[in-house]
Amino acid sequence: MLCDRCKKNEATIHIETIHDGKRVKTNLCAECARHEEKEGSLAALGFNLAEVLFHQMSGKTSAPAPEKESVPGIVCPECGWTLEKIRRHNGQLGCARCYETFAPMISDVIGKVQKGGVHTGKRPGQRARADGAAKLEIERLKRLLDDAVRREEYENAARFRDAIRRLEEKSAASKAKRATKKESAR
Amino acid sequence: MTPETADVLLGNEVSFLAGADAGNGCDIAISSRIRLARNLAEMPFPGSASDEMREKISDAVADVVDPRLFGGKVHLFEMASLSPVDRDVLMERRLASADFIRRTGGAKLLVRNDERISLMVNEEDHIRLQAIRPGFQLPALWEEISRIDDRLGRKLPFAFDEKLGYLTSCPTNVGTGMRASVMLHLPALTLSGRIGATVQGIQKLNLAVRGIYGEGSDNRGNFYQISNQHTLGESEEEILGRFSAVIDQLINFEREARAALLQKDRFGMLDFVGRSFGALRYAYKMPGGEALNHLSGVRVGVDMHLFENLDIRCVNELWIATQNGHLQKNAGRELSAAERDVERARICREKLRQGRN
Repeated sequence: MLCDRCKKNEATIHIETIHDGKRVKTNLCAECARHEEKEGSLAALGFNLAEVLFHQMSGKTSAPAPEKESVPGIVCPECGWTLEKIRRHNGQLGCARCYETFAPMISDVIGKVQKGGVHTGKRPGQRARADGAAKLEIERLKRLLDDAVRREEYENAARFRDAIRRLEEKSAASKAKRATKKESAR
Repeated sequence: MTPETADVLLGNEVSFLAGADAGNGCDIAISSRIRLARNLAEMPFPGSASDEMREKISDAVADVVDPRLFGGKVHLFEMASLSPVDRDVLMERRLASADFIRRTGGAKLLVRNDERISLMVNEEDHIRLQAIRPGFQLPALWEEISRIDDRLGRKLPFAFDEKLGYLTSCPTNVGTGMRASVMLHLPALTLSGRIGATVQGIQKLNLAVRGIYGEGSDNRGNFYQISNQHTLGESEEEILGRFSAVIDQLINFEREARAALLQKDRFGMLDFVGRSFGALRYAYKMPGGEALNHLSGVRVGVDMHLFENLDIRCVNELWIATQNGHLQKNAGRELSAAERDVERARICREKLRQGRN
């Protein structure tokens, strides 16, 4: 099957989307998929972007005869994987060491698919912030409260307001408890 | 722990449907799920590990997962020793991914008795920890899964990088390794022709839209799974906060679309619901995709109080009982596609004849 966009290359990526309730099938070659990706139309289709990116990158280094595994380049000293192998595994890496081995390529992929380059979330051995979940719930209840007020559903609004108050009191109490614990530990 | 068959779960209420009539925006948000991807340090990822290595990894994980860590009795399932029907049952109960049930060497699944906590060993990553519940309740899920992850992290050395966070087999999951997803039932947005624009809007916000069973599955029955795309660069709470705001908005859109449809085209809406009910109540051959579509119609009718004698529990039970694995489990043997359609129709007729269960 030929690519819908360039009508030249063999289509290797097949995407089904729903437009106005109608099913639309799109068939693309790797190159055109990359173009579409740049335009932002593929980004969030549940579509394996990493696969395309790695495909493209290993394509750059591969010799003109792609019959055998012929990418000279880098080999991970830990697991022995090459870019070609990563591509064949849909953009999955062989081991944690691959993150170092293929660092430039991976940071390219991360730059395209992630929001930032630095982890700011929880870490092993360190507890998640105790009030994290409560904070989330309070945010959500506040949105529900605004919404209820907007709709003039005052009974519901009162319910949300009370729930917010209870949660805020609870998290303030546990904060105080943690503070005294810290104090007495000193 | 001795490996079991899927039979041990069949008496349970399905985790993501249980108590679905208890509020939490359940009429539109069917269920919420959070998955955390973790890998053991110094071990090759499952894709490059030998069968022997994967067995070693799954033993190491299974050894530390006990009732205390999971907060309840734990069941163990080994993909290699399960029948295809049993594996389908695990997928339909949303405990295992479609990719996982096809794996063999060292692919083990640990499930807490209530099915709300589960862990796939040797899927794409060594560990995929999952928490799932009915309705829209991400904060409670995050609190629970994070606590279990803390306990796991004290017993197992995770692959972690100061800058990149939790290292995962695919760089699309690196960082928090967290995917949150909410399954939404959006029939009114579909009927009113606004679903295309809605899906595009969601995608612009960097969220993924998928069918019921995740990657590669379609949106049968007007069910859509929305999940976060980014896993690195924001904390878990920031990701969940942003994500929840979008879901709240989508729930509102659907609610408004339902009210508008009922007001503008009352008979159109009643017809949609009535036809679905009619087909399920009287048909003698019912393919799986068609069943899901009609169950969507009946579900929206129940949500909007258009039926006097049918409750959401009945719809939920049919939803799971009509899927291939459960259908064959219930029949006690493997069925051909044609036999399944006949059996599926029979179950629907009987259940809807009874109405309330």
